[in-house]
Amino acid sequence: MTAIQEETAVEKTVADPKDAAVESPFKRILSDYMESPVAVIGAIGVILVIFIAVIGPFIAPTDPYDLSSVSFMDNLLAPGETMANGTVAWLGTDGAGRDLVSAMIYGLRISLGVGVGSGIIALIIGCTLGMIAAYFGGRTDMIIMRVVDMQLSFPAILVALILLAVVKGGPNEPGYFAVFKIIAALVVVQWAYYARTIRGSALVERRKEYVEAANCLALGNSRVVFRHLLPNCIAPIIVVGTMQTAHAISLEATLSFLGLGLPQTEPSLGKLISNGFDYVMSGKYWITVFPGLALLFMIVSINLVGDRLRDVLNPRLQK
Amino acid sequence: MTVFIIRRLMQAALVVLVMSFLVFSGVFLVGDPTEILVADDADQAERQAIIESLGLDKPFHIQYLRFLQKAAQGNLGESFVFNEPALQLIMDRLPATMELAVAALLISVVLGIPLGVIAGLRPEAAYSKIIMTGSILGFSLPTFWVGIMMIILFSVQLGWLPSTGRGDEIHYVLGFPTSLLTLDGWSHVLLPAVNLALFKLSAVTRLARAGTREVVHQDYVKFARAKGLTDRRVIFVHVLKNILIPVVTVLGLEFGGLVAFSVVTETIFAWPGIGKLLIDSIGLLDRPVIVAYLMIIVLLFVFLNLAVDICYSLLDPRVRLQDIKA
Amino acid sequence: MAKSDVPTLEVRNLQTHFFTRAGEVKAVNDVSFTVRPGEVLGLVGESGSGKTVTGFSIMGLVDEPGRIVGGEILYKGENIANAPDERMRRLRGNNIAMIFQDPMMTLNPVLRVDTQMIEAIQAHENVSRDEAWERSRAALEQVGIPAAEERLKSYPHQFSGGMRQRVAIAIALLNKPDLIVADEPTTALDVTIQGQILYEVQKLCEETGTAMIWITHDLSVVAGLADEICVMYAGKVVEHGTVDDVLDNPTHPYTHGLISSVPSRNKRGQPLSQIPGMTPSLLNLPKGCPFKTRCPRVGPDCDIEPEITHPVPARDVRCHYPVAAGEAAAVPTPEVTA
Repeated sequence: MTAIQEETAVEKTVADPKDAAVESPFKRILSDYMESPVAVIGAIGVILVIFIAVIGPFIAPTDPYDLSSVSFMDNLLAPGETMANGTVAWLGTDGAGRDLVSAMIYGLRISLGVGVGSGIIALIIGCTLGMIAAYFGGRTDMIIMRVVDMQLSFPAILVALILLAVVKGGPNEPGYFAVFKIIAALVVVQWAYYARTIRGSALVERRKEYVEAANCLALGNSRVVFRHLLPNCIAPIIVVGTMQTAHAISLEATLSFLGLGLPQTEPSLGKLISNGFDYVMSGKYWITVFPGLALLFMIVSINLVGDRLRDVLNPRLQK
Repeated sequence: MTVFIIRRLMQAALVVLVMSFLVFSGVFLVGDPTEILVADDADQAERQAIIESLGLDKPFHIQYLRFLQKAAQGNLGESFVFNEPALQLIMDRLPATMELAVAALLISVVLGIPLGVIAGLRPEAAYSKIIMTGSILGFSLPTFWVGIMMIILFSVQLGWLPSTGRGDEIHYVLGFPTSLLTLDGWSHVLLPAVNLALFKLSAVTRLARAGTREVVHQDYVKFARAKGLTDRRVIFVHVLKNILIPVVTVLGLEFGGLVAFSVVTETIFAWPGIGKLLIDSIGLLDRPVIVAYLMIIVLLFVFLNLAVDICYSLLDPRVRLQDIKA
Repeated sequence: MAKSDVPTLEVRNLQTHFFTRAGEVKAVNDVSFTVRPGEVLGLVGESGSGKTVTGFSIMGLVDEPGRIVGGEILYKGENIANAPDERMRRLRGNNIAMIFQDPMMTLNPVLRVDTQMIEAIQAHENVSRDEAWERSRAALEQVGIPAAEERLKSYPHQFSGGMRQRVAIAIALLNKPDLIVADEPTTALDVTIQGQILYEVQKLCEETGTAMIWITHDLSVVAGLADEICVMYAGKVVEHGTVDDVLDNPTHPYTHGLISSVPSRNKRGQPLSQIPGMTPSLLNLPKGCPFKTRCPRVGPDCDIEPEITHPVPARDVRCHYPVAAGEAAAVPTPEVTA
């Protein structure tokens, strides 16, 4: 670990302003980021997870959802045993006889997809509403922020749980509808964070003189928002976005575990863990442990990145 | 202070009213309760009788007003499954959840504040970095998975602690049942409480660290040292009292989060609290119980917010003054 | 008050450096001065010149990543530079007290004033709470706070800025220290309040014989208050002498520049003179004299670090080309810089 990572008060007063101007902000952020070895490991982890998710179907030993290739004979094989078709199940098989490695790769794709997908939708909705609140102020601001406050005063899991419980479909519900429902629930619990964040930083920016200057030049509202306000709110949005994505993945897994998330036909990592829970007492630990480790690896990596980004991008610790 | 409390109580009543409307319209308008209530082989006349007896044929606003009227009398409907008043079901299980949440809160405060202060005082030290990396782990670990791992390790492999239930030795203190009076009770509560606490423990640690780092650079801390105070007095009085303000605020709200998150922990450890009741009720589409649970949770949150504000004004003299003026 | 032989404080070649990621910042780099009982020393310089760090070094309050790397700080003959923590704690607030710049920030917002005063007494003496309370009340009255008894029970935010600074001064005086380090204590205050506080501090020092180091960037404050003056630039004392001498007849070009940039009546109508440029980064100081890049009198020798000389009696100056009495400082010699 390097001895000094934080900028000190002394540095602030004596650092030559010229030094900062020479480096581009991106390079400075990158070099700041690289100073934490833990954060670099996190970044490598995130890249690895995305890589596996993208090329998943090509590297998975078997297709766990191709019913013709799944044999019930293979169920609950311990790690390292060989399945009926000759493939070695390195991490064992689950209760339906699916190879756990393959199931995990597919589960990772679903977990990441649901997390990132809901994050992006929530980001768009939240940012739009937050911007509107910050830009127009007054009554619009008050109404939007009241809703945000009320929403944020209840834990995300509770809100999602109730939403899913209320629109609980029957057993014949198609798989894509269940996916759509959980994404919708995750969007509902996330948008308020984005709205609050962007409103906060937009309000700070709005009071600065360049916005006034832009207004004086009679630039249109949308131009001021998109060309001036939005770019200056990017740093906090990146930080919140990273943390929220990790949170959404974790929440989806939790909901799936509770039986309110994704269905058996679209098993995310959370669903795999949930399936494995039934076998825990009989000592068949692997069905729960390995998908859990994959989930943990993914969430910890994202959070390490987010945590470091917050330190690096925080203007209060910077200048 | 009295004016302040009265004003806050009025606000709280408004929030409860709004939430009751949302909960009611959410749960009663989306989906059709008759589907579960009425047996599949019931004929049209039987169906109609049930609908009328529940008042489901009335317009929405009438149904809502009736719901409010009953709710004001403490009647939140009867469970379809248990044939018992929903409120009674909740109240029977609430102490178990509270016990769990309080134990988890204690764990997160008793460990989290010292860890955060230690990490905040020397942010560059190796142990501080270990604490902080640990805290990232703490809020990254999905609660349910950690719970399962704890069962695998402590119950299945080592056999040290029980994995389900509250134990049999329940005693009454001031009318509340608790299992915290016996060793057996503690052995039951330990795993779920640690499991539930883990997430909040990281949150408290990070909050205490951030607060400490901000406060130690304040002039008043340096001035306190310039007065020749011992490090112990500077940390325990000057630093701690200042960081307690954000910690108490968040903790009050986090307690609500603990109660909500106990849904997960109670499911894993088969803890007989309201969280497990909620999950069971959702599974069985027992709507009155869901509504009753939500209303109780809303009341709890509103009460917690109020309690936090009062604590806040006791801790921070600047807030008190503003309220007296207002 | 008679000046005793042992100075209250003697700083010899003090060096305090900060070891930052960007490099070693020599915030205080060879500073020496002496303060005798009852004397007021003015420590003058721009922000970043090292005057505040000098003050914190004396208090033993230099924070990480800073360290005293050289020199001695002799308190009544005892070297307290890098003294053990417990020894420094006993000195702080008891023998050497400090007043900070911003009165809005020096008192803890969540503790009552009496708590903050009583703890300052009880940190050094084993006295009862009642006795400490009584002494606190007396100290508040001493600095001119009316209704002291009532004010003791108040929180800092119930005081105005000037009142808070009086409280801070009262706290500094509580244990009758031999030396007070005052770090720009009047900068954040209104001019009228500033005047009152200056007057009262001066009076209190005279009454109690407390020595004082007054850190400021405001020459007019020093002129009315101090006996001696140290002008600091880039971590070094560039000129040192008695206040009247230095202000009437500055010999270092920097001191000269500082004095002529103070607006005054007789220069009305003429443009104010100013020192061009800004303080150099302490991370990479120019070789030789740190002031050479801004100096109107720069010459070939300026690439060599100037030693202390005495161009006039009882004056220490670090300059190869000191200004002689009556000479105009701003003799432009542009071709030399090439």
